[in-house]
Amino acid sequence: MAEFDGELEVHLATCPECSGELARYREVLMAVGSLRDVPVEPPPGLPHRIMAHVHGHEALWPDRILGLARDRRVRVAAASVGGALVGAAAIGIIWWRASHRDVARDRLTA
Amino acid sequence: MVDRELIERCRRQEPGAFDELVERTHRQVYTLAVRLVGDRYEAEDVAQDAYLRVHRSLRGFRGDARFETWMYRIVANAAMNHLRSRRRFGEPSAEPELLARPEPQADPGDSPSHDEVQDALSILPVGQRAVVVLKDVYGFTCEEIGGQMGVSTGAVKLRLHRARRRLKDHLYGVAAEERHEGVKERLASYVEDHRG
Repeated sequence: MAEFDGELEVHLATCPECSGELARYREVLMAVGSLRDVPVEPPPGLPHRIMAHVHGHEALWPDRILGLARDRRVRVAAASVGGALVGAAAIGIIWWRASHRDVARDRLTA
Repeated sequence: MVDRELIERCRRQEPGAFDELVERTHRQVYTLAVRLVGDRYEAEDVAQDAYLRVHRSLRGFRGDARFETWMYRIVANAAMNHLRSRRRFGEPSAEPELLARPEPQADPGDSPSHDEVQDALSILPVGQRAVVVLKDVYGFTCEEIGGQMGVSTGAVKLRLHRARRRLKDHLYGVAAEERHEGVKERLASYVEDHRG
């Protein structure tokens, strides 16, 4: 890369057209960089709308949970799922106890 | 400027602290958003989305970078997501105003005015404008820009190179006689390391 830059610099030193082009690139870079200090005027009321947006979204998550909890269909579905889980657990416990009882009886008779 | 104390107050969620942060910084945030998306209405959406992310991420801000730099990254990220969601990253196949030889905006030897530069930026394709704004106006690295835009560092450099050339051509006009094209092709990248 340094070798290429060296060649380029030799050319630039002897070619007014290309050195002029380089000067224009430098001007462009300086002008573009200076835009950082030039603000674009925001529309009136923007901070207020930003805060409304932020508060609206931050409030959304707890509200959504409460809203779901208030929905009768969701409550019925949750109760059904809960009931099914309790039933499945009860059946599992009964089956486990019965199988252990059979094993204990087999040992006693052996 | 945002001082450390205000950031701490925001992190403690003191009433009114975030409002004060928005009041102090919204001009900078909006300015970056406008320059990235190129539309004032869309820039407002980007600014709102960016502040929501700032609000959610402030607890994670440890002060390793300047607050403004951290915030600019969030704004740039929000703008990139916005542009991606609108599928506007594809470079147009033909851009009449760019294919035609532009009338020079600035006299040779004169520095272009802010308005002229702003106009020149506005005619760039979105992807090129985003790269040149983030790199040459806000000082992001090509690696950071690539990460935010979801493209390789090489692709960022290529867009930057094309964007600078288009800006230069728009502001100063294209030389009628195209000589030493090989040399001129390298100047857009060379100028960065040799600002002189």
